[in-house]
Amino acid sequence: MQFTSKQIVIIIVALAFIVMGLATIVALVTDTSTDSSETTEAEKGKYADGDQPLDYSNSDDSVVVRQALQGDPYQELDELIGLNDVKAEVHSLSNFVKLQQQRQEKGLKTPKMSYHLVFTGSPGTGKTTVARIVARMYKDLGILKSGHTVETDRSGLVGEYLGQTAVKTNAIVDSALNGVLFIDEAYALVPESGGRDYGEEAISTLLKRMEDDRDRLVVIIAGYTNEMKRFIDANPGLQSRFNRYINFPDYTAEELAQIFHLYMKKNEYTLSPAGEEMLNERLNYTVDHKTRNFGNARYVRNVFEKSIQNQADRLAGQKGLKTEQLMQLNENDLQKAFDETKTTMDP
Amino acid sequence: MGRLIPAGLMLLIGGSIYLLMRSPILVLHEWVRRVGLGTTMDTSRHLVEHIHLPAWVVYCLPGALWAAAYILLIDLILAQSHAARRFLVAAFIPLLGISSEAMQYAGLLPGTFDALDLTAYALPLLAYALWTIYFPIPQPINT
Repeated sequence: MQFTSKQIVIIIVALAFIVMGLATIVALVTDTSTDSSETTEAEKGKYADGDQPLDYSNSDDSVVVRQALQGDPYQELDELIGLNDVKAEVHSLSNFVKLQQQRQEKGLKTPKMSYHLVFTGSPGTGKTTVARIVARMYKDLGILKSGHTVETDRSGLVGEYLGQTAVKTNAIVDSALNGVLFIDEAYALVPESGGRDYGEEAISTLLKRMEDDRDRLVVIIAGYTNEMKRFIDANPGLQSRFNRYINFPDYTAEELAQIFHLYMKKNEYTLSPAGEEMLNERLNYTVDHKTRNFGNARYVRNVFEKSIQNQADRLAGQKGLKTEQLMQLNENDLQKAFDETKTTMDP
Repeated sequence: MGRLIPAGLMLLIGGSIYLLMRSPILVLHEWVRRVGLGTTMDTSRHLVEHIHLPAWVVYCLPGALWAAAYILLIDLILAQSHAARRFLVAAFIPLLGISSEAMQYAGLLPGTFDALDLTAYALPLLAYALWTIYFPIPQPINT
């Protein structure tokens, strides 16, 4: 079969365009920042039309932007109370990343890995705190440029009418680029009751952006263990992207007491010996009778805040108070605080 | 030259959007690095980092521009050919794009269906069809 010169030129031009087109939809196969699947998936993530990244510096209830941690994230991780298994997992993750980077420098093959994480556990178990540490750790490892975190939940992603959700989700993702997007109670994006809901739109928008911005966005989703597993299992796109789970167990009574002491130390308060006994007794009782929504460290913080309020009420009207009196909480302050503080966080 | 320069410009603009605005993990970026222009590309990307273009400009316009560039080039190469033949060859790349979107919609091809992408491939073809109908080139005597 013979071709004329014109036909040959047309074939070459057509092939050139096909190859160029393929080059714009095929991601690098050996890129270690790609996740474990879909390395040839076409880029289809979209921003909303004309959307500018919103300024979240004045955080509202649904979105909080936190700048990257200063100081050594590994030291901060090790100084957290309890969470020994979590610390081990995070260190293990860091060791793995460092080794793969060394292998890559030597020209060895490196497995495709996903940096996205699933944090499971009850409220107040340190998930958000560790997410910030992981963000900074990723920055130190060169995975993320900024290492800041954007914390949100369903209300920050889902709109109230058609078309709004993609805009909101894209805006939040934009603010999290080069950092970590932390989504608390992510399973709330798919309510069990069904019905009209734009949570699915948020998920599909998020998945597109995770694919498109895979080299500069890490997503950490968090929530109760069973709910998170069901949420991820229900969506193949989520399954392929989230395959590393870190579980945050509830704090023991001893650990909660340590947390309470930490709050006191940071705010320059002391505890009477009777108060110390009261603290241990009540925390033991609370932990033994805790429910699924137990607030853990958040509960202890609330108890502390109520305690110092009770102290202020107790000392109200008294003049010439000594430093020790201004600093010391007693068993009555604590008892009232425990009585007034809910043990559970509303889901 | 009347079609070559616009085609070249469309290729250049579309390519620039891909290289400067899209995630730098595509094979296209790797090609640019391989020819020694990686630093230039990275510097340029840094310069335009603060520019936020609408989504359709970043993700759909390049495809439309490249489809239009291909059409112009084919129209130039086959200027002396029969209009129908010219149109069929010119439609090849846009139709390829439209079919890939359709297959993504049907789940036959990996990727996410996007109506805007479909429009981006279809519009240049539609414009060319209308141009061919309303501004026909005189048929050659020998076809």
